[in-house]
Amino acid sequence: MTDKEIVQLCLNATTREQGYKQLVAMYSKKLYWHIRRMVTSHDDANDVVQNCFIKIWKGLPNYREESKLYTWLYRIASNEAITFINEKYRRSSIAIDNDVENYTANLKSDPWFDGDETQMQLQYAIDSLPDKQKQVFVMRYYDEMKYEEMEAVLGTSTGALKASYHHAAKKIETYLKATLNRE
Amino acid sequence: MNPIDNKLKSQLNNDTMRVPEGYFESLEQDIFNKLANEQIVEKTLEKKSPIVKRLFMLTAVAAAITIAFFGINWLVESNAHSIGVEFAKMSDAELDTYMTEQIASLSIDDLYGYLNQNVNQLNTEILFNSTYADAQQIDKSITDELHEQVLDADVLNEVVAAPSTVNDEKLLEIIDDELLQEYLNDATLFENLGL
Repeated sequence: MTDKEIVQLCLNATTREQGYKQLVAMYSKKLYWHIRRMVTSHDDANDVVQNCFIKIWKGLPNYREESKLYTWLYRIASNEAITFINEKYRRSSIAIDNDVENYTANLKSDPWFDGDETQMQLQYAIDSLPDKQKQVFVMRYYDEMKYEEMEAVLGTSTGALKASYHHAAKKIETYLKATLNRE
Repeated sequence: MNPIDNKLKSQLNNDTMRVPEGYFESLEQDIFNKLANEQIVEKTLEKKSPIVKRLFMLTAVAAAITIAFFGINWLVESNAHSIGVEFAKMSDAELDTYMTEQIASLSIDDLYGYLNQNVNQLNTEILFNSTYADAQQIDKSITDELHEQVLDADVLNEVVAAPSTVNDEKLLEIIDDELLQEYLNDATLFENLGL
């Protein structure tokens, strides 16, 4: 089923449920991985993706076909993930960039993370990025999204997105080189 | 030029994140279950909303009554205060006229009720000197009371010395004025007189 057909089903009140089921089947995995890359922990990603689909259901009656379906879905998922991260760090009142030991300790105890020390440092470097750079990096690198699509999701110009991606990649590289050389 | 060098690329491509087995198969069902629960909660809230509205209305009415009560109280107190100020500015003649008008507007029942409740606080001298008191009626009440009630020991000594046939006028003459005044000042006398 195409996005257009799913949208048609979702916009009709009598077929909305059917359309929603198709939408969940088609996008739950993609959105989960997008969110997981942002929040890192599986348990957190599981909570966020479920909340995200609740928001999608509630937003369906107001969905306008001006934007593509997947663009709209990614925008909701990305915003949910950022909101979750900010809430999480606000609650714990610990800034991630001051807490590398605690971060890697949590990652080591996570049964759904298999990385070695280098990969933990890499994950830490990604998580330490500012919100926007992190969004851009995950979308570009892991989701392999085109800049034009990212522009529609984030509402930022292609030039600014390219700059954000460049800064993000450089920060990660610099951090890893410094950390690995120290070891 | 891509800023990611080959070493970093290999690290990034090495996927380190896993999910529990069968997770994505159950994820869809978990989402539908969560949505169903959300809808149940929303429907419950919708059903309860009339009660919430009624509670709101009751609270609003209670608040309005409270405000009205304290508002009226405040108004009455402010007026009483302003009347007090007016009294202070009045001359004796004005005050006398005002009081006469006010008392004339009261019924006998009102006066009797008031005196019955507050007579203990009145000074008997003021009562006797008042132009509004019926002197004959008071004299009669006092002599009746003297006949019926046990008198103070000093008063009694004078009374017992008097002939048993002594009339009311004589009885009042026999008793020393100061002793009589002291007796009349005793608050319990007025209770016994029914005033």
